[in-house]
Amino acid sequence: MRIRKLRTLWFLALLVSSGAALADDTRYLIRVDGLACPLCAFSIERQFKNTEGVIPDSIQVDLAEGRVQVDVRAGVTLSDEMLDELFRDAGFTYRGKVTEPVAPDEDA
Amino acid sequence: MRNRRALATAAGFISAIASAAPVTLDTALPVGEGQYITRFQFRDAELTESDSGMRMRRSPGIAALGYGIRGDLAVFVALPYGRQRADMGEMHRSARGFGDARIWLRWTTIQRDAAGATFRFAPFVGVEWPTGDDQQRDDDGLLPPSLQPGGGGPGAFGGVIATWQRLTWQVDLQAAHQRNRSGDHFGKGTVTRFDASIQRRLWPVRLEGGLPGFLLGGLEFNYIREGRTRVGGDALTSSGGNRLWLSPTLQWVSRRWVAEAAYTFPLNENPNPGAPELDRVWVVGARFTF
Repeated sequence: MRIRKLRTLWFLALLVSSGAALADDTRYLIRVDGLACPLCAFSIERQFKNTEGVIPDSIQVDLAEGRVQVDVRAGVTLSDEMLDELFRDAGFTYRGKVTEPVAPDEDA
Repeated sequence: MRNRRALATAAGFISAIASAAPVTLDTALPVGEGQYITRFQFRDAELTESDSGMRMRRSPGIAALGYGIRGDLAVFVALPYGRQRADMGEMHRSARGFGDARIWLRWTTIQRDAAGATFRFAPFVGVEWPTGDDQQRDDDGLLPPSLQPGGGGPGAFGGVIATWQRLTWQVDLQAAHQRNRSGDHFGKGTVTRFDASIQRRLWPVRLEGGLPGFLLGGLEFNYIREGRTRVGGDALTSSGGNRLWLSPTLQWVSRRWVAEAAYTFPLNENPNPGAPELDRVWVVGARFTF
């Protein structure tokens, strides 16, 4: 009985640790309005770099598309409320986001 | 020597530093919360007083710093340091030193954002403090107000700015007014001005993605009405007047810094009798954000 319990516990531990190892970082593709010059992009980058969980080197601003791409660590979520406040602090307007998983080696 | 204070002061009225600002007026574009932006600008102005033939040269360097208190509220400070000289025949007089410091708040009250475009409207209000020396002397005695680094007394100013910005062009409009009190020796006249700037992206011709630097070409118009300088409570007749200036400009705007240049020349000068007229101003500068 004890051996069976130990086997079950070991199997559950293996399952949980495997799930954690396979969790992906998340890529956010964010639409922002009001962005029309290169110098303006820096204020957005600065706000994201001060946000916990954001991978600093992942921040990319596309002026023509009015879009910001940023990756965050597994387990971190950027809510609409957080993004609305972040872009307002930078001086711009948040419009919406799309998320997708990032393969582990992309952010390595 | 007749006074030439007001003209030269108006030439350096406000040192705009936020974002893709024009060179001779301010912009309503944002300074992000917690963000700093600094500007260093050097100007070289030549003026002539036609009756006497006196030539003046004013060469101030201006350092300015802006800080974003909130996304819609920013504070700015500016301090000039420069040299001014006057030559007439065998007479040569000059002075150098720090000028008067300026501090002002700018608050964006209207913000309309769209994809790749924005409209902002921002009132501003500030004070000019007489940190500059207004009692410099040379071998010939006390220098006249026109050559003193300081402006005499404190001043208060305010105005509004409207900015339309798109990825290919930008328009800024500004209206401002400054009232000055006399110090112990003299005081500048009031200044009212209306300024306009239009800029167009010259390069890249087509925006294909990412974050390239922009080369901007522009034209800036400055209409300035100056009141007479007061010395000992009396208004100097040979000061003040109305002026309309034009400045072609070039700017390189990148993610962290801006390089700028402008050449200002008069379109129409209507100074009061005996007051000097602007010949030209060269302006070069740079901005950095962090």
